[in-house]
Amino acid sequence: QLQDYQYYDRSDYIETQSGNKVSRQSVLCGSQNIVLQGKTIIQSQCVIRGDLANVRIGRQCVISAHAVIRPPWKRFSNKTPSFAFWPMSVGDYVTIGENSVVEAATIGSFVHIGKNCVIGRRCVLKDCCKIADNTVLPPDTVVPPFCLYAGSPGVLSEELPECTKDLHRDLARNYYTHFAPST
Amino acid sequence: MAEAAAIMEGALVCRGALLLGDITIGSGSVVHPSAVLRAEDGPIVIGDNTLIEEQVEIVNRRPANATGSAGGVMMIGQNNVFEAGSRCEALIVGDSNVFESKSVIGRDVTVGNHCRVGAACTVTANEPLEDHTIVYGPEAIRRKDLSYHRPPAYDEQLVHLRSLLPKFHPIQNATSS
Repeated sequence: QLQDYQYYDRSDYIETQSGNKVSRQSVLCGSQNIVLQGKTIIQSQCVIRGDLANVRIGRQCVISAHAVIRPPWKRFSNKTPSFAFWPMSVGDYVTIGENSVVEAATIGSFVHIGKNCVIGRRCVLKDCCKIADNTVLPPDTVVPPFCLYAGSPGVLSEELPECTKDLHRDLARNYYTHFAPST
Repeated sequence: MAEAAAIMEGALVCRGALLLGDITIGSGSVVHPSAVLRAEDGPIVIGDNTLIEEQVEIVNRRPANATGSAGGVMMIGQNNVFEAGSRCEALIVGDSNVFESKSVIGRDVTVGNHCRVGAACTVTANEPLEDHTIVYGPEAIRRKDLSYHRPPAYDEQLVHLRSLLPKFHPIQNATSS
């Protein structure tokens, strides 16, 4: 479980009072609408679209390089204006892999999303679930707790053990403690 | 690379987007920040009301072993949608196509009208995508559905974005009307 230390250049990251580490190379649009609860790492070339709608990200999350976090949109047939972006919330201890595009409505806590995933619009990821690498979740998918989803389109491939909560929490915590400045 | 991009009146191109080379963007189009358009071996012409989301790459580049002269124009029609992370190198793209997230279109593909390329599908062979083709699944299976048209939600999204984005982003000025 324990990774090697991953060093970063102190000048490349902004560290906030609450322990968030945000890369200067990341693209945070509408930063007044983005809430990071603390100890969250946002790596280089990430895109987080707070300008479309509010984005709330919990504690000790890891958003890896080149990931895109954008609020989902929905079209209502009977209302005017009929088009709206929805706010997006991400729980605590969530790791999102490199090059993933996430348009989920809600992501619970203790969730692991692999690399190169596409999480479709308005998906709901419950607590303690895992999305394998290269998974494509179609829009409006609901991933139940303790489930591993894989494939394209993503389907249930395995159930996860009850200790998933601890595993994913340790993964996120370890990542944070091993993500250290090089000096 | 000296020539600047031509942005038609009514188009909205965020400063965060990277436009390299001779690029024309039609009116009403929206280009999100961190999209990349590279006209390396010839100009790129993008039609009206095209939506280009973040981390999209639209590249006009010949393969390294190509013969013949550079300068092939990349023509992208109207009402196309490039969702986040998709990549397009096709020289001819028709109208009203949707390229979902992380889809890849190779240079030798000719895209018709009202096509939809599913998320993470790769189409790189030398082939035409006829009108109303839908590409889906892990093996990028083709299916024709003549009743398929681009959902009108994208038009509403464009209207929404054109009023929303200028509040948050510096916008590249239109260069011609």
